[in-house]
Amino acid sequence: MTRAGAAAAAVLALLAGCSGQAPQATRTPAPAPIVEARIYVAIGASETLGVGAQEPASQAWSTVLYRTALPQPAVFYNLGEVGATVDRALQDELPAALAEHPDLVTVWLNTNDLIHGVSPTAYQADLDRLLSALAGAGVARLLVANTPVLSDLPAYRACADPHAAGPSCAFTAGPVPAPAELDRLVEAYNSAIAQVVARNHAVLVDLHCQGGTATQHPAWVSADGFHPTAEGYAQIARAFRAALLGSGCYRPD
Amino acid sequence: MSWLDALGLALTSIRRRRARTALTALGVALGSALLVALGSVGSAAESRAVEHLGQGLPVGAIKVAPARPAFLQLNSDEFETRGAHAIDAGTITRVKALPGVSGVLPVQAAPVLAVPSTGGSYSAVMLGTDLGAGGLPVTVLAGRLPTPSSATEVAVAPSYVTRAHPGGSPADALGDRLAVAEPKVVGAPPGAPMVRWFQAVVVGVISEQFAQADLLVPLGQTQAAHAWQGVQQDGSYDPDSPYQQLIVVTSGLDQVHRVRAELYDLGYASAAPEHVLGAVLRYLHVVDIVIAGIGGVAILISALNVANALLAAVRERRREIGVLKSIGAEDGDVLRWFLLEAGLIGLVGGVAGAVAGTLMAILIGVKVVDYLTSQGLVLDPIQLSDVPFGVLFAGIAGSVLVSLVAGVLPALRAARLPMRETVGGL
Repeated sequence: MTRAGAAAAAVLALLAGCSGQAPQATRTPAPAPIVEARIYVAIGASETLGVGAQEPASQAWSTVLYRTALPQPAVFYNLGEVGATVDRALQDELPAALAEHPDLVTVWLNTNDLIHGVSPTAYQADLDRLLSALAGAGVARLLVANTPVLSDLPAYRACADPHAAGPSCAFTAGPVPAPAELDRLVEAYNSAIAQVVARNHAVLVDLHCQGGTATQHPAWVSADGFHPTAEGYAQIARAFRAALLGSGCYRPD
Repeated sequence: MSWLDALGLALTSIRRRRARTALTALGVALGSALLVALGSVGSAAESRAVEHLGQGLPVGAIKVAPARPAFLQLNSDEFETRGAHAIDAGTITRVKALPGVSGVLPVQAAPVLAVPSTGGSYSAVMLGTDLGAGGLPVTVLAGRLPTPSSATEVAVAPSYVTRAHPGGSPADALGDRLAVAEPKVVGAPPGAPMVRWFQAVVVGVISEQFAQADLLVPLGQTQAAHAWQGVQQDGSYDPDSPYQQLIVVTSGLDQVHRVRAELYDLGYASAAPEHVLGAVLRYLHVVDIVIAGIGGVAILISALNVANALLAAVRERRREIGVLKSIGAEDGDVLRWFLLEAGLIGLVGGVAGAVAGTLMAILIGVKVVDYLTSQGLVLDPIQLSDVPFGVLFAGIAGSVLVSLVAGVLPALRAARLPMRETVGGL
């Protein structure tokens, strides 16, 4: 096998995940598309790639949204990058997105910025540059997700007791904020996101309004205590779907 | 005595000595069965070797790369390249015009992840070709091929049916929705890939014979994937070539080398299993000769058995022969009687042997496939359709013919018996 062939095989194995489960031999009816779009681009980080799910590529919220909300001829580009901040997305993901001339773009980038200690002001400026570029390129629909509640995530709680069994602390890039401080930071980020969204005539996907889903639905958080499971991703996809329909805050059952 | 009378007499004689006739026919059947079984296994081995070495392409197919051939290209079955050379529409026209070429298919392949709507994603090879071209070497098991211009239709290989509809038939897959992910390796060292997705409806199920493709789509779909995924870093091939490969179908195995030489002159590297296939076919031909020898000995033994049984019958029927001759039967009538008896024994033995030989071939095939599977080689078992009609016909007709030849001597002896000698004991 050539080096390129080996890389392709490794990439496909990574995308497929490690599922060996036999599929259910039932045909689900094709869901009716809720938005007319030809080209959909997802800009984001590991969550956009489905990290934490058993089959990341097919169970990522962005893929679920594509398969359930868009018409069949639509093409979807998942440009998510593990560990991406808005600054990195401006360099890597934005050019690739603009090259495809999308008419629907989703952006979910905030947690890595927050973990890496990017100030809300700097974050707001970076996000504004990103959304302005997309809006300026004529993207018809631009959806931007805010920051969900982070303080109840097992990967955050593990920071208080690094020697405890279970997930390891996800806040490794700097000092770990206290819960109240973390909530304030999330508030500040979400305020910045709301302002940038309004300025660029985008649609806000409110993930924070759902509250502490990790406490309410532990099964929606994967073993790393940070990323969602396939079930969690399905709920996130529903939140984006609700935003596309203009339904406001999506609250899971 | 008419032919019908002779036939009645032969049948009466057979009925009178059922046990001996059955044993004689059994001998013929064993010889015929051996011939049919060995012939079928040999034929199936040859076709499997051609299929396996052809990597799912039609017999006599040649792969052409967008690259110039190296000096020793024609001595190798693999691509031997020395620089890029694009394959374009002009190339296709020139290759089509070569003598010995019966078809040219431009293809693009892309590594993808297939995600059935029923779940369970899997790595797959998506192959695009000109689906509007005539003579496409694809077997459609259910449904149809995608429309050549469609961006939302796909044909799948049986591997999809096994995954998405375990235990189901190819028709069960028709109408399924399938999402296809085309990964693009980015960054150095490579990180998580960027992915382009499209969705399609399964409109057909094809056999896995065509270039070992898991998904078959119109050429435009794989050209889009190729444009997205970018060039694999291998300087031997032209990254800007409109077509990634050509599959050139020749009019037969004997044309492969000549067409490859023509492609060399046109400036293209090619690959075809002509040398390895030639060597394998030579070995198999030797095996065929050995098989024919073993079958011949078996038939000879059965012929001696027939002759022996009929000679015994002549001795037993001296009086009957005498009576027949005394009431006006000619020597030719007696000859006909014994020859028909020999022919009937050969026919019964031949038919029974052909049936038994077919079953033996299938059983041998199962054992051989089990062994090869344990060695990591996946081959289809021998099926009824693998038993060549020629071998079956040779098994039956050969048995009749050999029995007739074996019956000549006893029949002549019976016919030439003087009437005085045959009735002397009365």
